Amino acid sequence: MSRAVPHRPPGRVHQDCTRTLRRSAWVISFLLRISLAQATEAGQSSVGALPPPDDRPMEFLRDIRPILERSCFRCHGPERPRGGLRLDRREDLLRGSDAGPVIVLSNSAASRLIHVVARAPHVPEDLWMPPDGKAPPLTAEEIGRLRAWIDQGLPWAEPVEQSADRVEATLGMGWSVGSGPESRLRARWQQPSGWNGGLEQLTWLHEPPEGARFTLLVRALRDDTLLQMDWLQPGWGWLHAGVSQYRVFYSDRGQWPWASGQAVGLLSHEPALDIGRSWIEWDLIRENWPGLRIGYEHAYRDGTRSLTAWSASPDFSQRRLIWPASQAVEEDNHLFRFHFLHQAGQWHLEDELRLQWINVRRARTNAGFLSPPESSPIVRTRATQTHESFQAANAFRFERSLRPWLRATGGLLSSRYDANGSSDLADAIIDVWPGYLRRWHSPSLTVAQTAHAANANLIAEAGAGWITWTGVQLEKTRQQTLGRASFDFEWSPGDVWQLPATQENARDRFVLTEMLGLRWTGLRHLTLYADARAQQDSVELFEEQLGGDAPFRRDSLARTHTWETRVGLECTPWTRVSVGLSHRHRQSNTDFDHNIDLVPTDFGNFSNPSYPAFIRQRWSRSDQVQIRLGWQPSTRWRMAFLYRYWAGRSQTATDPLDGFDPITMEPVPGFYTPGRKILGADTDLHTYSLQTILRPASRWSLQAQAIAQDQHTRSGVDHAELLPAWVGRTYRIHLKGRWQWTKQSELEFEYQWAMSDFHQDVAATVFPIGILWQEHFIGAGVRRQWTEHLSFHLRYGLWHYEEPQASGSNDSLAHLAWMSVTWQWR
Amino acid sequence: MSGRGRGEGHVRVSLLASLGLCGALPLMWLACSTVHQPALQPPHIEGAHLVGNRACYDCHTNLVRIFPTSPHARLPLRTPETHDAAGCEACHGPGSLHVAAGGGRGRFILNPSRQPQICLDCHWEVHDEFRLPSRHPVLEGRMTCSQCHDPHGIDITKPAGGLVWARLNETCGACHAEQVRPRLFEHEALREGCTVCHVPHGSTHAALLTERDSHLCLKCHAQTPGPGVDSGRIFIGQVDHTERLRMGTCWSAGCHTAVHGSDVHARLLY
Repeated sequence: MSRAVPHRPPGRVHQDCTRTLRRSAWVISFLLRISLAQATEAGQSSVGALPPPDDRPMEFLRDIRPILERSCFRCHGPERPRGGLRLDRREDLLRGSDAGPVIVLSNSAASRLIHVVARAPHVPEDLWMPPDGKAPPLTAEEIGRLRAWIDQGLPWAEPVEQSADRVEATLGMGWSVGSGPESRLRARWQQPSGWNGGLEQLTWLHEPPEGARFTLLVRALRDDTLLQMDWLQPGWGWLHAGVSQYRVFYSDRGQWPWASGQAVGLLSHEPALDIGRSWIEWDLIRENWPGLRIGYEHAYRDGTRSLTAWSASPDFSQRRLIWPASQAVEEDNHLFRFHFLHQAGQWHLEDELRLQWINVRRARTNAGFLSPPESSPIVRTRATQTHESFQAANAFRFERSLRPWLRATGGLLSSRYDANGSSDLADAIIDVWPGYLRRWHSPSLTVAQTAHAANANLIAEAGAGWITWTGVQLEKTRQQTLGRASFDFEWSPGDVWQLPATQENARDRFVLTEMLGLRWTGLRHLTLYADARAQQDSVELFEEQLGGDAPFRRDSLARTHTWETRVGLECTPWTRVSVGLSHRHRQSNTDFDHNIDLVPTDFGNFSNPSYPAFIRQRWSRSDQVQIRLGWQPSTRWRMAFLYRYWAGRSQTATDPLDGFDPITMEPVPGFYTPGRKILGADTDLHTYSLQTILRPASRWSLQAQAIAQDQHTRSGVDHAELLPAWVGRTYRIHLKGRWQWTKQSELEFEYQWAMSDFHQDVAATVFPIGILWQEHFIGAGVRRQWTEHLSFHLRYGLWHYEEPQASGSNDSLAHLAWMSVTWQWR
Repeated sequence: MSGRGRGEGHVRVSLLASLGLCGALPLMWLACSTVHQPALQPPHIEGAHLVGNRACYDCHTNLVRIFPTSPHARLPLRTPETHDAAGCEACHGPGSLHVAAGGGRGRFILNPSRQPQICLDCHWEVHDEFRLPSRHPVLEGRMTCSQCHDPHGIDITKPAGGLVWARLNETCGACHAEQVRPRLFEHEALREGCTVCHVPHGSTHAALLTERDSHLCLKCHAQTPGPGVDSGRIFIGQVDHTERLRMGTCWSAGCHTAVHGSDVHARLLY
């Protein structure tokens, strides 16, 4: 019965109107015809075209409901019944649709329902049910069953009533203990040491056949809490609400590796950051109303985190001692969101308004000046910052079909950002007076930024498997910032040299982006694609600082051209084999015009030939090739392989920078640099990844996954005494398996090994920041279904972590266990 | 100095790309004689079968309409009988039961925006990245892929959530607003985007960094030879950084600590 499904062109609203008119006309004519047929028995020709009714007694659940589920309920079920017709309840079926009855009890030949599903010749083709593309047409045997069902008086039976509620609750308990730094154990597994537990998950689904339904999700396990509710009120849409918070643990040794010969300090506290949010959103869904969504969200961060900086050691006698840095964070983010969606004729319109308030306070304790490995820390610095901002942004979007094969989209964004803030920085003595201490203040900072962006795009589905899209976007941003600062230096206790300054920044950025994409799917199981993007970006920047530690005035123009292309294919050349190939290229070039770059002083303005005034050009390029293979030799075995190669290179061109011979004081052209293109850095990154999933027997399931990354980055310096190339490899192997021991019991095992080797054999004068670590994890577990409603899951794991370069001080061996008990009810 | 010809890496990439395309030609030819079931396996829903994208169109019109321009539309999944495109079901699972139930959020259908494992079944290499020491907490259940990625459309067709609204760094800024906010003295690197310095999924280096030492900064910041050029000294901005380069990264020892831009100091010292 299946036949080719014609392509359904866009413009559905117009089609629906036309269809409604035709349907009404046809209903009237049909009713007239049936009446006439009954009166004159002249309708035998149309009735005779129907398949004959089945002669067996019909059982609703066995013979009829499967047909309705497959072919009818999607449009004529409880959700958004088309034409007002519901087929899931007998009384609704007898009542019929908005256009009148569809059933004549005990007379299938006169029932409109039978004629439309039988696709009778006198029924207009666009009224045939189910519509093409929605479900396959009914077979003659199925129509015969429907006829018999109507003729036999529409016998009905409801399926066995199931509870509207499903509840699943899982209680969890965890335990970890081991040797080595506890903070590293916490940071690796993101759970507190020792015993912990709570409600791992509570899910409550309330889904009655009619009326409101909701899903409730609750979690209160360790430092992770969640309460989430999604409520659907028919006729009013969804209400989403919830609160959540989790804790991120950091190592009290900071985020800095250290090598042999170094020692490390510990923070006086266990750094941890609480990240949370609460939200409420109403998604209004009403028949014939525009879509509306109104929401509010509050997100926050509160706590302390360790940083990638190091800090000064409090113990001056210990050289090569580094000290982790930390930052106290308080962030509050309030977001109000209003979203509007409307279909007006051929126009699809969307608008979103966002109002956002952000308050931030950060206090960082980090490095003083330090020059390891020979020298010692000088000062410890504490920096605090507060920042309050408000942003209002509105994004409008439209979409319209211009032709059945051509669609236009576009959008407009406007945004306004205002902020003010303050900063303080103070150095503290560690042991001896370092010569001076910084006492910097910036009590007043104001920022204003406006941004406007607009884009327009065309998407064409030209047939023969071709899809093309093209677009252009304009973006303009203006930012103005004013600040007052005082760069004060305390030369001796109480002797402060004040250096007040005013600061100003004005920045105009204009970006034009063009895009073109092509895809061809003309051959079955083959997709060819290519897309390209070009961007022209200009930034005009004025910066000025009058007074302070380093006064300057700059006016520069940076013009950037960026090109990005991607070509590739996806195909399945043989049964169970898939192949993906792609190449991506990106190139960017920036030219700098330094109109003004000088040092304003009370004695006049002096030119500043140095950084960044002598930078003339920056150029970068990257290429990526990716090969992805998938192979499924049998239904029990699947393999996949990926290889990715990324190569990047950057260069900077400078003006020659002259200087003076320090002995003769004669000017020397190109003393600092002769002016040329200088290598920034180049990088090669290879990634190999393999995955295989095997089910050797019905009760066995095995999975293996491996990844290897090889990175090599070198800069123009590339000198063992200064900065050796950054070279390293990362490997990871992950094996896991399951064995279904009995129908109720399942055993599982897991092994992971990972290693990252970025260690550097550097000269004694270079601070060794490379890292070498490896970890093993072996785990086993059991799942058991105790009763129909009760199950449990027990897991144990042994974790070993080592950093050979840290002389064992960072090594860990830990036992971890998790147990969960789940109760299900429905 | 580890010598390597300029652009050698790109030559290698170009060679690989050429080989790949050469290999693709016979595959394209073979594709003409393909058989029924592609190797792509959609997630499993008990008792359900593929129905094709058109079945999704009625209720999810907006998403299905823009889907052909999505990278996910490249997936060659089709219904077995009619060979209709079934890309929606490649991620959401076979939809027949969902359709039969008259739709409904979560009814016999999967939602990768709440179940990242569905995405990771195909993007398995990303799964490994999420296990690295520095990572976004996706496997821990605290983030989902859809918080950063739009799986249905490409940027250009979805300005309200893409190209216009989520301009450069906007995606990261949704959670890391403090790092991408406007500042008095900007760090130009942010003009090119967060991914110049950070790997979004996971890294073996702290703070999701691409490199761990000064190479991260020297990619852009010119290192000039210094006084007399043959002195062996390295100057950055006419300041001798020879000793400072030995200290690790440019920010870690307390110098250029304002890596995302500064509200106080033009050289990002604070």
